[in-house]
Amino acid sequence: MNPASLIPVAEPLPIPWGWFDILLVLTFAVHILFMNALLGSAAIGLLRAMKGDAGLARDVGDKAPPLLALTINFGVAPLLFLQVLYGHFDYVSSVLMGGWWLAVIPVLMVAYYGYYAAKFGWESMGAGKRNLLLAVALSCLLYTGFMLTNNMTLMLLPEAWTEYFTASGGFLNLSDPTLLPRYLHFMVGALAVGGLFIALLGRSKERDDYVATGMTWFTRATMVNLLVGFWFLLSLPRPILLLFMGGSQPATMVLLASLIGAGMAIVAGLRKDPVKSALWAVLTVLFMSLTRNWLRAFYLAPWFTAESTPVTSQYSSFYLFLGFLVGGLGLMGYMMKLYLRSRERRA
Amino acid sequence: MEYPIWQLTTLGGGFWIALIATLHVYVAHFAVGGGLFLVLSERAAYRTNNIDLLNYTRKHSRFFLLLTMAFGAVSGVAIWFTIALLAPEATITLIHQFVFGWAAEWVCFLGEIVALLIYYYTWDTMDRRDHMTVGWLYFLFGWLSLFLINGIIGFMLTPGDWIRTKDFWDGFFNPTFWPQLVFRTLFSAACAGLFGFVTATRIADDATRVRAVRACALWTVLGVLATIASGWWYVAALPDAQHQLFAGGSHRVAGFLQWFWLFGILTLIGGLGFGLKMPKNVSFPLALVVLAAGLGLFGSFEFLREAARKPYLIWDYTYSNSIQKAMIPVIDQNGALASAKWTPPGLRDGITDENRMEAGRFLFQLECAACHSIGGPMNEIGKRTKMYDADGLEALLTGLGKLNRYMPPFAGDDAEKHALAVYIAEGLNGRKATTADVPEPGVFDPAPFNAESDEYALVAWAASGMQFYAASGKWTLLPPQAVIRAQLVKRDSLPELVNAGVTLSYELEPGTEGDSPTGKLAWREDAGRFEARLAPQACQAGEFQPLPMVTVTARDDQDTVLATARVALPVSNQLACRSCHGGEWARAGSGVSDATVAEILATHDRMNRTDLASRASVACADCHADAAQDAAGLPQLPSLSAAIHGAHAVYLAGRDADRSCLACHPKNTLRGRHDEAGLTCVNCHGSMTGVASALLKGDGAPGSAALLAVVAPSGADKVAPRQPWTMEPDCLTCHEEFGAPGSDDASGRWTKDAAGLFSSRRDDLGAVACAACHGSPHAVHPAANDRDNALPMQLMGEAATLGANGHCPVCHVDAMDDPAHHAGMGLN
Repeated sequence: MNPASLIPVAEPLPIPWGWFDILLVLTFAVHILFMNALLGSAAIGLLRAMKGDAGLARDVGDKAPPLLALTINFGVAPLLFLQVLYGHFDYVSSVLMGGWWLAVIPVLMVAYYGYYAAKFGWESMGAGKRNLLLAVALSCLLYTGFMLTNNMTLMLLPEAWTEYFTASGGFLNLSDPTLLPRYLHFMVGALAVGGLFIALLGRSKERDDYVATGMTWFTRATMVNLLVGFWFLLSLPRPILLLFMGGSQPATMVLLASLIGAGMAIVAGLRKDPVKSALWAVLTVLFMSLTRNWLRAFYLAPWFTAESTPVTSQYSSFYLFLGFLVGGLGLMGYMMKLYLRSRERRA
Repeated sequence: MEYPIWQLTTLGGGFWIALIATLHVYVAHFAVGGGLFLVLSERAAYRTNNIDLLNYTRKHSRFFLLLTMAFGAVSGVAIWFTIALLAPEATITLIHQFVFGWAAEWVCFLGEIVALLIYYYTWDTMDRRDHMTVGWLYFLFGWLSLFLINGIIGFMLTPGDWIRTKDFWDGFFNPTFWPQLVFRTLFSAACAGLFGFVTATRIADDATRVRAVRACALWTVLGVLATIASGWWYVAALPDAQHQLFAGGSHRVAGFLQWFWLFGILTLIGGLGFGLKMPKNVSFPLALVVLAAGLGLFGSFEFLREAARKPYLIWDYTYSNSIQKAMIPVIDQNGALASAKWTPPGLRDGITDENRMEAGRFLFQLECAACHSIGGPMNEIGKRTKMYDADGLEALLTGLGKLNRYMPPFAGDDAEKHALAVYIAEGLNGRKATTADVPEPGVFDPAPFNAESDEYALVAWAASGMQFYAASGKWTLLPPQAVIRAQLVKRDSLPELVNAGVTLSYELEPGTEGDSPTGKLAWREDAGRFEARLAPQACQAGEFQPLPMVTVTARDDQDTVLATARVALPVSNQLACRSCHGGEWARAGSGVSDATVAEILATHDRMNRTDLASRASVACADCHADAAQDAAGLPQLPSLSAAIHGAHAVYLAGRDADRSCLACHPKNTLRGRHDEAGLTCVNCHGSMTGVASALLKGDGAPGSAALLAVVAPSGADKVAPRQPWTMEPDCLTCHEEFGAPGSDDASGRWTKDAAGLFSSRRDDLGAVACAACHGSPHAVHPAANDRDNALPMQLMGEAATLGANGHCPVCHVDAMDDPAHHAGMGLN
């Protein structure tokens, strides 16, 4: 069976695809940063708590529910823009995963209420129970990430879709050699940024031990992640790998930019400078987000290109969104101002 | 048609979306109204300097955080994930059409998170005015979320001009946008009160608790009342088609409406009850009960909205099973299996005996599973189809969405329809096909006749050739009845019809059940024949017998037998209603059982909002006029024939006679030579659609025109209207000038009245009845069985038209050379 016959038809776009690409890359980078801060700090905190020091776990646990709220919120936006451009691939992979995919919802719910339960019941719980709760919540986050990696890779592989006809139910993209390095690349990245988040938290709380611990995690995890990244790169199909090795100039350049960013972040990390590290980390994530976008385009190129989607040129609704975005961000900025003022008052 | 199917059985039929959406939407409305409630409570606490109230508001904000931000947000994402899994094609349309509506809503969602986090975490640190500003902003973002989603949800129900323009704003500001916005905003306020009870009833301080609970009661009661009031506006704003579904067309809507009122009243009573002062340990559990009633109220509203949208996801554009309306003709043409991109490889080359069940299974998933579960809580398919055998279900699929507007049409070709029907009826329900066994009619000796010495020849026939009946203690569709007609001929070179000085009596074949097994035939001067009305039943000694013989004897004044004739009197009750309406045969492989009748009446009730099923006994002709029963019926209703043919034609359209007409008109009474010649009911009467159209067009009742539009959607301009029972096909349409047939289509030219019917008409001399020589209608000589041929065998020793093949002496004693009765007569 020719897998091309399985690909649903693409619906027209209201405005040219490039806009969605930009929005997708930007919001995805923010999503990853929030996710990293949440998952990495939670993991590091839990490891410390299991060694008997629950202080860090409590401090990062306090931030977990808001971080999760923001991670989910910033997950919605890129997923929306992804569906606009590539929904006819992503909805297929979602359906193929079936129950595995929908399970993300209750699992996230468990993580959410797990962190809330830990936060509000910290005093009344024994360390064992507390750690178990945090471990369950963390596993839920790890599950969610793994499902997202599955979905985002399965959507790229129409030739793997035919398993649908023989599988007895939903299935995962386990036969894809890029699945594991890709997932690990995100998770190790989370440990790095999670460490950075702890360092920044330490900086604001004036806790030098947090800064030290956090920066150590950041630097080491980023180094490890370079290796994982190479593994990921080498696991790619050879034609795509070559595109990143000079075959495609822009793709090669964003990958290089990511590497340079990571290198600079490591340097700043070794100097124990959380602010500079954060700056480089954000840039690196942004470049990696772009790299990821290229990777998807390369995978899909034999089947579909976003440029080929018809455009209806209904700009007015785009302006509606821009209005909400500008107005909304303005009001959010105003609220942040009020918040910072209240912190000053408290200080 | 474009996407793979997330195959579900027990938890299919939209279970996940019903569960998640109902809960999410309840909490989401609470998030909006509750935001206002929070900030107003905070303001009240500051103004009255009530520290208890302030503490309550703080605690409530935590409940709020836990419920709206965690559950509300994740369940909102869940709806998205779920609809994308269940209806990817429709979801993609929503995403593409409204991407910037969704994106703007995402901004509001972010604003809500930021505002609520700041609001919650700064109770102690922020300036009161600033804190309230953040609270107001939280409410603003929440309400704007509602504003945006409202546009998209309203679009699905009433897309308005979007259907034509595909313009974002036409879809967004659709016909129900504003009323729905007001409705939902007011409901949000009610939700604030309902959820407020949960925390307010737990306040320790008595005075504060009573005050807070009363405030919640006020929000709830006023909110619910205002919601219901705005509901009128909402309903009134619905475009005609949806309004019809809402205001009386759909029993589904009626069902949810009952729940809506029930829960509405419960919620109101609960809300009012909280106006009373009650102890804490009573009020908290009660708060949960009232909260649940509110969920019931809102859930039933959302189900109502969805029911008014049936059979669409996006009205007039995408059906509930995600098939686009515009694609239906293409899919019908090419087949669903060929049209669906994700058809399993084993089905791509068409349906065979081996893969039929698998094809049906796939088609079920493709077209039915979006709304129907298999053995689950949502629209369970088995319960709804257990009465159908495969053929009946196929008929249902043919008529799907035509009379009951809340289901989409079946999309696909006939073989696919059949496969789906077989899968549901036999694969899922294990229902065997309905079979109608007919005993061999059995040999019946003709009466004696001596051509040399007998002075009289007696001829007899049945007025109706395919008489059937369906009657029991529970109902009477058509009672058992038959009319036997006869003419007595005094044999001579110039024969005469005899009507004086003779008595004609009849006797039904021994063992035949029914009233008046024996009796006399009365002379009818106007018609020139003897006639008797009998009420035989199709049962002899416990066995089904649709062709009982009747012996007619003519005697003179001295009671001397002059002549005897034996003819078959067709009478059958082998109507296969159970094919579609369930139940078993009443007895002996025939008859409509009470279980079948109960289902028929329930269906009638459901579709026409009647209460027949609850009555002790129903006579159809009490309401629907029927000339065969001398019943005038009610003037506003179609005649029985028009109604029955009309309703059934919707489902039996496009079928040949065997699978339409003869499913109800028992085939065992069709036995004339036309059948042997390969002609079917359709040749004379027209197709099922044609029969129904002609009857409906000839019917003056208001409902008939509407039904006609469903039966013949492409118009009935060319249909010749007719009245049932009296306007029937005319033999001379094909047999022009009594000659050999020049055509095989007699439909559309009807007899003018009852006198023109074959069984009443007489020859050119105005003497001998057509049926006297040719036999009963539908059993024209030579017939297919011995019973019907008994009379010609008796009089001529040959199964042929009386007098044919040189048998003039049956009446004339001598051979004749003049075709006096009508042209031709085989003489020239």
